[in-house]
Amino acid sequence: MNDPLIEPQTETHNTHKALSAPKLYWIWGMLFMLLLGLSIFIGSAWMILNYQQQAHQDTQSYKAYDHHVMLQAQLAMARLEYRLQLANLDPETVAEDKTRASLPQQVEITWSRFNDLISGQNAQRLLKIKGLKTFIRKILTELDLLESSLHDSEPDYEQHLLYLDQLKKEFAADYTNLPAQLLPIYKDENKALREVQSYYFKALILTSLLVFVLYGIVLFGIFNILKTRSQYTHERIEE
Amino acid sequence: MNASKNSLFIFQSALILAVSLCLLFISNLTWAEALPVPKDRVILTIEGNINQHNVSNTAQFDLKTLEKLPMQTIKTTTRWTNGEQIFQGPSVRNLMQMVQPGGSQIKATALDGYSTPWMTIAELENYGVILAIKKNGNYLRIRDKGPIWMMYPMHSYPGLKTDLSTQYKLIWHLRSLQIR
Repeated sequence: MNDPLIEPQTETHNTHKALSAPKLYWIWGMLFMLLLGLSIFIGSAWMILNYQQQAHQDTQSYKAYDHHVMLQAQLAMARLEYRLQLANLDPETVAEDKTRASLPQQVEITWSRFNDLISGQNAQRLLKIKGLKTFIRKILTELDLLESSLHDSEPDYEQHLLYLDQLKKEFAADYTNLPAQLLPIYKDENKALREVQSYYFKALILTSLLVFVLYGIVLFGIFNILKTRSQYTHERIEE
Repeated sequence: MNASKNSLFIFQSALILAVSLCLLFISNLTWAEALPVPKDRVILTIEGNINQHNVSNTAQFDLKTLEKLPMQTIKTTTRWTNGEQIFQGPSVRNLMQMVQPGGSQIKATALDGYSTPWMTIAELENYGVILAIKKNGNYLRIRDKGPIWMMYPMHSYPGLKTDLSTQYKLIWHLRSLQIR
């Protein structure tokens, strides 16, 4: 047992044993876990970017549609006022011609445009603005009155013009910063998207932690192997 | 005797055939020209490169004439309405068969002056686009985006719902169609 020739062989055998299957499997396992962690990390990062992009697109789309309906309503109102002014000067202009709608048709078009603000998908957002629904109802009621008065023998266009002008001023006073008022509503609309995004963000943090830990373990393992090998080589040289 | 009977029979058959063909030709001609002149308020005017006219160089339709065409139904949701809606109206295909267009492109214009971009007639026909005059069984008033609302079957092609260019073509308050 004390034979000096046998002693180094036992050491070499131990060194080999140190690099034997279980330890290597462990290293490979760690490497696999590291790769898995990295792929989840990259996947989560990609999903976050994707959802971010989707939320941005949705907001842009909401903005475009909401601004469109608001501009259309204002345009219809401007055209109606113009038609009323013309009718006030000359009742003959009430009729339809090749290029424009008749006054009763314009009243209906304006009604439809303002109704768009409180119905359909846009309404889901616009109705969250305080007081907007009541105000729109006021305009729609006035348009109904105007429509029924058009059947009178001598409609009082001027009175309707004055009232519409007053409503327009009220609208301008209360809702000039409508786009700014809509911003928090857009954020609220994207709530579901943001929830999924936060889920992926948590996954990103967890996987990044996991990756760092695994990276450390793998480095430590590799360092140990290299150390054992260098020890073994050193012993061989000494022999 | 038999020979003369045979020749008489052939002559009679040929005569009947010729008369039938003439009648068929005349009836076709009458059908093709039978674009009725509108008696009520005109709600749709088709102008441009068309082969059938009823008022000067245009084809004009009142509600009754449009209703005589086969009604198609589209059940869909839209961005501008609440919940699922049932739209009914003649298909663009049937309307085009009536006016026999000479061109392949079409543009729609609304009462408020809005116009769609030029579209191909084939696209509208292939998608089965209709000119809706009724919504949920009721005639479309101007305030309901009538009297005509061009409608795509978005329930059959869900991609169209998010396609912005299709949204531009869902023209309401439709007043006229131009063909080139």
